[in-house]
Amino acid sequence: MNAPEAKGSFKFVGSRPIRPDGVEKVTGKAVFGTDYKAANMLHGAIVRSPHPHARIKSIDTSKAEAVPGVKAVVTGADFPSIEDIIVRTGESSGSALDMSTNIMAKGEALYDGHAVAAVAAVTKQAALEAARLIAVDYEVLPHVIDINDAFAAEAPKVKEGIQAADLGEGQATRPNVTMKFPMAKGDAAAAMASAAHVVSGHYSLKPVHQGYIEPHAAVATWKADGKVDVWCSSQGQFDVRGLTASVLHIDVGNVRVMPLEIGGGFGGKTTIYLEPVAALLSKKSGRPVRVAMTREEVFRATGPAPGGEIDVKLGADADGKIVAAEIDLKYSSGAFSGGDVWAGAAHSINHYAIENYAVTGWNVLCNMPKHAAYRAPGAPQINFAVECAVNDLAEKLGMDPIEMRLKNAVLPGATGPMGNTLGEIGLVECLEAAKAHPHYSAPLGANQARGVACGSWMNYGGPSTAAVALADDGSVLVTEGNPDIGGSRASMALMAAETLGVPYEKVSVTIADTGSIGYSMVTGGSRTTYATGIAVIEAAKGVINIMRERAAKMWECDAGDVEWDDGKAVCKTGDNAGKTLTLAEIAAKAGATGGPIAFENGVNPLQHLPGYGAHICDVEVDKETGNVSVVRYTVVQDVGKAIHPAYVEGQMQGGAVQGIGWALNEAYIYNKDGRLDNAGFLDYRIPVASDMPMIDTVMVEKANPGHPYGVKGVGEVPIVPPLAAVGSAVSKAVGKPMRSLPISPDKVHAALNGG
Amino acid sequence: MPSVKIVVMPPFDREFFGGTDRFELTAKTLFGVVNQLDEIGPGFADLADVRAAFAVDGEVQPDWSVSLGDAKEVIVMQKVAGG
Repeated sequence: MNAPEAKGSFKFVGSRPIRPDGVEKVTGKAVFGTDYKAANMLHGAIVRSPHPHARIKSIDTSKAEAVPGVKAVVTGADFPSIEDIIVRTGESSGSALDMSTNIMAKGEALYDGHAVAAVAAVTKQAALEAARLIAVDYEVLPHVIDINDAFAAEAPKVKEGIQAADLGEGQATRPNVTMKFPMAKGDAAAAMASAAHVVSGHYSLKPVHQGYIEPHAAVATWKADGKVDVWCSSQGQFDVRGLTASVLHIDVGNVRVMPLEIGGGFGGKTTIYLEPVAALLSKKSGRPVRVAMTREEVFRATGPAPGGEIDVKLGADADGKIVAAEIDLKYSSGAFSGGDVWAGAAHSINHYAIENYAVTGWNVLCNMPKHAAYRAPGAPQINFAVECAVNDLAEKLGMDPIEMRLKNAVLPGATGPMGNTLGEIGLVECLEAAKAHPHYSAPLGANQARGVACGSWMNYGGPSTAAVALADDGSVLVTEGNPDIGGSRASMALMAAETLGVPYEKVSVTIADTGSIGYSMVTGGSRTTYATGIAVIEAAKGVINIMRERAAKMWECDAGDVEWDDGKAVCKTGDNAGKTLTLAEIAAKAGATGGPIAFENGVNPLQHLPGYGAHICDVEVDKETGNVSVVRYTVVQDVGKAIHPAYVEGQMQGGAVQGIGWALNEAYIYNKDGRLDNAGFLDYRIPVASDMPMIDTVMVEKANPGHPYGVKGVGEVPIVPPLAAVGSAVSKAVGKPMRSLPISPDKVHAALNGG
Repeated sequence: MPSVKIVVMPPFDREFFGGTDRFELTAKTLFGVVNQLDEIGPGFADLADVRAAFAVDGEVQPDWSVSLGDAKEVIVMQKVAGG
């Protein structure tokens, strides 16, 4: 299916040019968060709580302030008192008070690693020495880490003043439960009772980190005029601006954020941790201040994806049609409300057409860092449970697992569980492609087994601004407001080139600071190529209209007599009929025809469509050690139209690898004292290239009619199915259900040896 | 002006409307829907812009000023968050 404006084929869209920022990055010249230096800059260090829960009785900073070179110290008392207002955080929203409290504890430390004070000095060494000398008097309070423990009615309160959820009449009070999210259709209990086949299981997942390579860092300067400049890497400089202004309680217009290159975010850089700290240290010292996290601080103090405790029960008729689902999921959002549980509930069964379901989500607080978004937030956890159960059901019925999914797959035009129409979705095409892939029928070796899973993410659009301007030599200058995480400069350049009809190489893309272009929401949620792409296309169309007017002036005709065709203005009537003017020729005469040619455009598109994928995973189990190796892996995904296929494939591979890590290796490990025991990449092991086979990718290109070139979001979906694909494969290899992630060698070894 | 069915998804139903998740309103646009919901559940309008999305007859509508016309149903749901 072609996209609305597709002519059957594209000239530039769908090609694989070198990314514009590639050379700077591979030669180490690109400036990331920790690279940026301001003149006369101070260095910051943060004091963090060693306790998972403690009352801060006092903070003595006198010894720290006496260290030579120390210029400023801040604590929670230096942060402005703010109302509990709701502000945008990425694509959704959150409490400004929670954000401020997470950035710097105020009276109560809520997790191991919670910031309690910060210092700025002329050298990093002096800052660290001063931080060590800040004396915090703690009264240690009871803590709770595990979701099940925190869910209990008698659990210790994670913090004072929790606003527990209204659980409904007759429900026991649960002090740490802040949200109950019920979702139902039909009569699940009755349908379950009459089902021919029923499977059920309990599934557990630990919190995991996004694992971005670049630690958080920010440089801020509080200027003499009261305005604040910030340099940092993030997934969205505009949201950093808004959140920083909220926490500092100053006008948004007084904060300007300069985006630096970003070394991975995966959702974890849609929020802020350091910017207000650096700003307040700068305000006190009168100099720019840089605060950068160590790897240990990243693990201890920045948001993991929630762990989960999930019960799933599925019922099917004799033909394998799923007739009922009963699901209960508990996610933890750390020490602050919010969380991904509603998204987990919404994504639990939205890839299947099920007439009767009862899904209940619970958000539970625990003494851990405030959760943060991680690629398809909330979906991988519930998908692990549901897809493993679907595989169990297929096995019980003696059905091929892909056939079972085809029998139950949600179809285009269906209504999703949230009530919205799903449109031109491509799950069936993905499942058919997976079934036909040579991988699916390839023979397995000794101690090997195969798992499959499918899943989805609803994707997003939202506000974006872009500008297109012409230089007088015909160069095309695209300015956008979204940080380039996955190759979006190249994608924007391709869409601008396609629209204008000029070579890709003539297009330069700049990512602007917040003072230089209108608002764009974060780069995240698989929205940028879709939404910012539309902004770029519409801005390019605005430039085309201007060029038609300018060409008409040069030909002394009406703009209506000029068409734009393949990078040229074509005169359609009069003495100049048939004549053409190239973009460069029109740009060269801009001064004589009305001035610079430029167009800025803001959009808020929401005709995005959900993405779907199907994964096949082969594992090999070492029966002596319990080690699991992924020996073959295939990702099939409906990607809409791939603007730059290489980067779409990269998203599919990257998401799969992160999901494999979640399934096999990754977990936050807290000791009995509530302290994180594995705050580093040696002990928190993410997969590396040598762990992985080459991940095969199959792009199913079913265009989105809601985008001029057919784009659908692609970045979130590929992390959703791997947990179940891997988990089901290992379960088959071991001969026992492996329902607790990560499936580490000790668990496999125990399962193989009767544990 | 025909009435339109309003379906309020969690958590807004409990948070603002005492657990009621179905309303029948008469409104020209989503602005009218939001204002009337705010009268039933005070505070909703302040948060709707940042927290809620509106699907009109199944299609998410970002522009609150678009005429509801003969729309049958408006679903109020939480905005999606992504990574």
